[in-house]
Amino acid sequence: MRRLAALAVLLGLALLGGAGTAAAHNVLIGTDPPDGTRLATGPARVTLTFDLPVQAGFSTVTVTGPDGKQWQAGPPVEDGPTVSSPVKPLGPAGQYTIGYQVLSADSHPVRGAVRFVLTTPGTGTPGAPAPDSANGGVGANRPAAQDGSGGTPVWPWLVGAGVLLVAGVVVALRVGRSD
Amino acid sequence: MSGRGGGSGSGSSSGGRAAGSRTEPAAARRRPGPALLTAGALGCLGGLAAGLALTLSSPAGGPADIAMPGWLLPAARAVFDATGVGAVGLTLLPLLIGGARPREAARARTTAHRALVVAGAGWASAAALMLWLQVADATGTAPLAVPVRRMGDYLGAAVGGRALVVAAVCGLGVAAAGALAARRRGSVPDGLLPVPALVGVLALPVTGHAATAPAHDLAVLALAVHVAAAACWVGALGATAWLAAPRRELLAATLPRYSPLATACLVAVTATGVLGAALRLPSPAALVHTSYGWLLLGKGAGVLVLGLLGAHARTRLLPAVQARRSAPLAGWLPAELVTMGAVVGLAAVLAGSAPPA
Repeated sequence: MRRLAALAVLLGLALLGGAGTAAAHNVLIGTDPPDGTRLATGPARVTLTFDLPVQAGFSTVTVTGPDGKQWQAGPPVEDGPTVSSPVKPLGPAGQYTIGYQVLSADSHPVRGAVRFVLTTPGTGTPGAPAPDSANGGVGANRPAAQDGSGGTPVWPWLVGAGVLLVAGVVVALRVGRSD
Repeated sequence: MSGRGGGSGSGSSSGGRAAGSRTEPAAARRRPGPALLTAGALGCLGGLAAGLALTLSSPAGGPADIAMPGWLLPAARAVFDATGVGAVGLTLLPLLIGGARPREAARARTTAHRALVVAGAGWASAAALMLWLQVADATGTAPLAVPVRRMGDYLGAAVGGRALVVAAVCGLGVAAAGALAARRRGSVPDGLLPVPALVGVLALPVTGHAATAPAHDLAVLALAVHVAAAACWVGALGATAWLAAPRRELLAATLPRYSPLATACLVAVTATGVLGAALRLPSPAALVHTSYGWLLLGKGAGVLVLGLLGAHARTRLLPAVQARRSAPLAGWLPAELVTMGAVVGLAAVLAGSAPPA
């Protein structure tokens, strides 16, 4: 029991010394245009504001029209707690959905959607139709450099590390037994 | 979704029965360890499925859909938690068997250290798997398409990624220490080994959710105590079931030491759990109006059952075990492990969900 108490003290010290400050889950506190607005002309940009800074390089913003097409004009830009994305001149009247995913300070992805209604049809031409769940649409609005599709995949390295680890365990148990 | 939850529930009860039949007094010398751990794993699966059934039915919406099924990350989290808790338990076991006859204790110690090599390596692998899936989740990429470069980006940006690296290093560290201790008796002090194991278990939770709560530091401290106490409580019983339960002599030495530890952990887990819930929930009504609240209620119910099982063990089973009489542990151990597994499964889902605003 005394050893357990000593262990608890040691652990408490390790925690105090080693742990950084725990970060938080970002909460969306405002959008431009605000959720549920009715607009006569489409916005040039949509901006999402969170209560805490957003991790740069991991955000996605999509603007999906009533026709199911995508209307965002480029990759999202993070600036402190805000993420914004340029929007093309809009097309048909109806409900547009701003979908977002950001990486919050505590490294949990936060996703959600806000909506606005375009009352007067615009003259714009849409982008690609919104991707469906099968092909991983979240990456659709990322610059090519950030897109998941580029670069050497990491899984062969993980498999290699796993094989090495299994070999290490087998060797360690064999060596332990021979003693 | 509810069908899946029901299926796993019945599966865990049949697992419990299988474990029970193998620990009949007639078969006391046989090793019931694997069957008992299977019971715990099935309980974990049931808790995971029930938790997912609660949360996956209410998607948050977002930009198109996600390239990965929603159960994958919580399932990896459950494996990560279970292996980490197992490693903590195996590092605690040498401290609990101190009262046994020296030869018996030495043999059990070596077995625990050898098991620690496997548990630590499995834990490190689970941490790597979780890191990989978290990057896929954060970048919206299919897991197989995650490039090396994005993994680096994620580690630079996300404290949760670095916490998993800490956990993986701790896993490898206890595995190596276990190998060393199994090879040369006494080369690693018993009291030192639980420290890296507990640091690894705590790394991810203390960098996670709690800061959304108004009283940030208090919430983090409560969470750290909660997780550490739960890991000791569940892990030590799992390790005892695996190694000590088949040997009556060893069990008679271990259980009397485990019992006060379990009581202290039960008190700590309950107090910090209630405190954490009070800090995180916006109102008591959120307990029944949100899936987050239902997950908390599920964990509370599990702890209540564990408290009753623990009281039964203290008043009825412990005297019999100490008198070297055959105590009816065959029913008690699987029941305890299935319930603990279910609570760990629920906790894995809870850890991945945001508290209600």
